[in-house]
Amino acid sequence: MELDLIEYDLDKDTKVALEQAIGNFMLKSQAKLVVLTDDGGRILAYQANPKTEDYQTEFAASIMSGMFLAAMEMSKMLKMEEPDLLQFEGKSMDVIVKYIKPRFLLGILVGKSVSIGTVRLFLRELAQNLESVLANIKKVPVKTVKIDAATLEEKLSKIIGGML
Amino acid sequence: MKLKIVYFGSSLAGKSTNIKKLYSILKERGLVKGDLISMETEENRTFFIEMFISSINLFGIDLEVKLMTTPGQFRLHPLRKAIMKGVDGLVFVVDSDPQRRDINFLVLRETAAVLKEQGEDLLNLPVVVQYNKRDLPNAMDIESMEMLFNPWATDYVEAIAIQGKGVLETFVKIVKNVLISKHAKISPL
Repeated sequence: MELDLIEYDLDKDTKVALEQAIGNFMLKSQAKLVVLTDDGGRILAYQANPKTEDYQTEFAASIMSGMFLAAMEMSKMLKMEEPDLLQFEGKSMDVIVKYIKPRFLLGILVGKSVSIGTVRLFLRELAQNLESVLANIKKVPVKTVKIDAATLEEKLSKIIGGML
Repeated sequence: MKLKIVYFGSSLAGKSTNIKKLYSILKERGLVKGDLISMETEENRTFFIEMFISSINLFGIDLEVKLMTTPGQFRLHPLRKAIMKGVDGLVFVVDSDPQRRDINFLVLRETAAVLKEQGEDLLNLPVVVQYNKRDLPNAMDIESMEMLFNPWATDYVEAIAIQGKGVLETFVKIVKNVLISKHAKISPL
């Protein structure tokens, strides 16, 4: 049976709106890294200063989402209100993870030279912006490949290499 | 296209061994991005997570596959929930030792409960079952294991992960299953 394998991406307007909102926040807050992920830790948008490798941001996003969800589990266990924001202080950097409705997370790394109060003030505005953009999120197909299941497995095996 | 695949199973079933072997094989073939991230206890047991990213170009589509393990130890159960969130596909690593039969089954049941709490149905997710440690002299027979541990009737792979056997095959099958289940539609004529 032939299948359409479809790659989806965010629509252009959503991408631009997310980039702008995060860019403005980066300027105001002097954050080192701002990363927006879904609740599974998949990145929707990020900006870093200085630039980081994509995979480093992917790892950071996974760990930040894991931390936030672990904190949620803890609050459930202790019958506390679920957290909206998680913050921890490092020696040279602070980390903030904020829940963004309906199912996203925003991770921020900021140097110690910036007051955390100021960052949180700008973060409120950013969260509101992001929530309004993400309320109307759309994914559009960007590429379609026609293939059947057996050929797909064959092709993957060929790319990945001989089986041991 | 970003895929999140989680290896789950009982403690010492071979989840970390799979991830580490797979990382080293794929790295040799230039199919990984960055390092293997590992958060372990002093006894080299997974504490929170092990993960790496595999990068594959398939028909011009860039696939970024994030592979993760859950901690197998029962005391770390809440952390498993955090890792399972938003998962695209699962590899169930089953220990072939007959003495681990009940614990294998318990993990399957518990994982179903975790996913249900997150609004997912384990039976509807793309899965590959890997029967590991097939070199054990008293390994359970595949037919019995299929009855007990493969309620999906999905692909299964026999493996000796510590030797790298079955590790790549498992990876290929789970990527295929996730792509078909989550990113493919029956082609209109």
